[in-house]
Amino acid sequence: MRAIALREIKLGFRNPWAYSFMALFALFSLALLLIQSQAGMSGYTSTTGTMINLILYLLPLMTLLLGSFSLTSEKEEGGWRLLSSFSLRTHSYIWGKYVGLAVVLLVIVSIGFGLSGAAGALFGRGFELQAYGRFLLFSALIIFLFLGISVLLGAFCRNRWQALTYGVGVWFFFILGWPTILIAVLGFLPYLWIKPALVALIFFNPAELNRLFLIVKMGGGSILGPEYYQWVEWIRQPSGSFVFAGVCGLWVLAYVELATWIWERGRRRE
Amino acid sequence: MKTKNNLAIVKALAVGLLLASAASLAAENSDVAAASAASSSAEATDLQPLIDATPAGETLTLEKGRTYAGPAVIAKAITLRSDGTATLTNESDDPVLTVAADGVVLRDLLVRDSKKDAKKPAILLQSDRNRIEGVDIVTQAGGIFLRDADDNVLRNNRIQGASAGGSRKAAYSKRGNGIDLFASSGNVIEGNTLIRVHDGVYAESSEGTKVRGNKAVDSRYGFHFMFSGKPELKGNVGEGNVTGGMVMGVEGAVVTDNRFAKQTENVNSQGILLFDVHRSEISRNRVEGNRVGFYVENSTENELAGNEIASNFIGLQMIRSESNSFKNSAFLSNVIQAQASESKDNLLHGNYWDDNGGIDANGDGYSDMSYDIDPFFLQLTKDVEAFQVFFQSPGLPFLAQMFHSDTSNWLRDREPLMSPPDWQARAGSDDGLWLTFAAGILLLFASIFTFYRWGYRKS
Repeated sequence: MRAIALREIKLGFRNPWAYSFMALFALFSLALLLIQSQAGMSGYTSTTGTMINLILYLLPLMTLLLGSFSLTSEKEEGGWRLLSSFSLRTHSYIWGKYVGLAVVLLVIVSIGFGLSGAAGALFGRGFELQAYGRFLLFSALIIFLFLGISVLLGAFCRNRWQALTYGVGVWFFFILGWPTILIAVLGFLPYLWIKPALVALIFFNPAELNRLFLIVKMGGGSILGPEYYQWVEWIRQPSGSFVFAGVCGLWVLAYVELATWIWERGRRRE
Repeated sequence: MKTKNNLAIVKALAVGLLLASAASLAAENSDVAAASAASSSAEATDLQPLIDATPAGETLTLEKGRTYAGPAVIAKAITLRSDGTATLTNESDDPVLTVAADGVVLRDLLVRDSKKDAKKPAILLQSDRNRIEGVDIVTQAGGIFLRDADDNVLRNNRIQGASAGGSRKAAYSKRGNGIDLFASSGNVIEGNTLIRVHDGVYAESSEGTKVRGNKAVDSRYGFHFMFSGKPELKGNVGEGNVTGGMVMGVEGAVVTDNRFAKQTENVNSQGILLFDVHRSEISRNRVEGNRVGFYVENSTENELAGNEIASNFIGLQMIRSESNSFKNSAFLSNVIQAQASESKDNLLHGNYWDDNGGIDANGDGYSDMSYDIDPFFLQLTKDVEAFQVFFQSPGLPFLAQMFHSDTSNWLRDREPLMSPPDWQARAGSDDGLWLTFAAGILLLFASIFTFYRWGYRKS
């Protein structure tokens, strides 16, 4: 598994896509930082809110595409066939891929954050350290969770084109279309069911789950209104963080294991 | 507080004698010498006999560091004072001091009230033209209540409520109001500090109350007016309350130069709330870091000008309000700058919105394009409150965009200011930024190292 992860890191940095995403992310976060007025660099403000949205627009798409491409290209280019001739378990292969990809993506956002953090501070428009750390953690979590989905996509899709289509589809569903779809569908439910259904569905959307967690941790929980009072109170406690970490862990585990299972099935059929 | 109290008792033991001190040389015989042999036994001296022995118009000076037991009623115009270290205590359910005569002065006293009924005060004023200055109250109940009491002056007092020193989470309903006015007109409340009480200053059916330069912290509402004509709320500060300034059912209020910050804890938190408020002036206030900066409901014909609304979750929320004007204010870094629904004929003019990309072709400093305020989210959450969870969801603008068919009834600033008004001080501090800088550099190096070590170098 370690060998696969190291190989994945090496491959990942040879991928020109990685650099274009890196440039895009660094550029956008820098630009945003410079556009914003200086007020509101800590707590939940428009500056931090915009930053959340930038991360949510860009990172999941980046993760979905890089991750699923990495797996499907192995199928297309015969890397996997070569590797299968060694005694290699699918399990360690997929997890190795996951870890390697996670490292590559983390390096990409770290460079983006490193640049914007240092440059922002130089121009006197930086985030406070706490907010900065929260964003970093938030981005890392987004990467881990969406990488789970993207590994599953990679296992499922036959080639890169298919992965691209599905990847963009998943991104659109979870990020752009989410409120529209939910509001439309939940409108059919009896009023009392709406909130429980909404809360349950949020746990299936890593982007929303992460976003709400971050907002609450930034002290913005009260904006969600009286309906979510108990949730907010609960997340704010330290135990809320642990449960959240547990949910994230479960998420990743479930998706990667599912990917392994699909991949293994494909291997048997060959 | 506890040690201070003990200290006071120890001091009282040491002195062991009650002396009347000459407060004013002119009033030589005003001193009340009530030397008590029992004082050596740490017992508090009863206050009422001392008051009874003081003739009207004279000063009763309480001795340094001693403790006196209430409750007491002041029924003649005297001055009750100490050098700021004499303590009044109370075990009963009555107020520590009841002021029933006009022209009483209370000055520089410590009041420690141990009753717990939030409806009952430590000091009750039932008369006119009294002055209360420099009184420090710690109570589990109410602070200073005014009932049918006109033209009083309350200045530089300090009131600490509900479980002061203990857990600060005492339920709001179990707290008493700091300063509570009912049917009392023309009172001046100035420079007081109100901590962990129910409402800092509460005025009901009281005309012309002037509330200036007070500070309310960690309370329910900082300053609360109900059905009171022409109140003045000027230069006050509120932090960490549910709502800073709450003005309800009022005409002709003057709310200026206040500063309300960090009211975010509660789901109903606001900086300044106006409900059923008409023909009032609300200007030069600064609301920062609240859940909602300005909340305006059912209010008409108010003039809001020169306010600074910064870093709130929602800057301005306007519901069922008509014909108000909002001018020359600065909206900075609010997550949502403004929301409005069922509100028409409101005039927004010359405000600065920091997310506005306007065009100023003729160079008059105002944008030629209006700043439009989309009511979509407010309407969405009005029907189903649970949808509030989509607040600032990245997909929401996408949905809102699709509903932009009829924008004619939107709230809009026709001539938004291009750059912040002069008076707006550039907030934000540079301290701590070098930490972020260091973290950024560290991150950069770590990632470049990872890239070089495992990505680039041939292993």
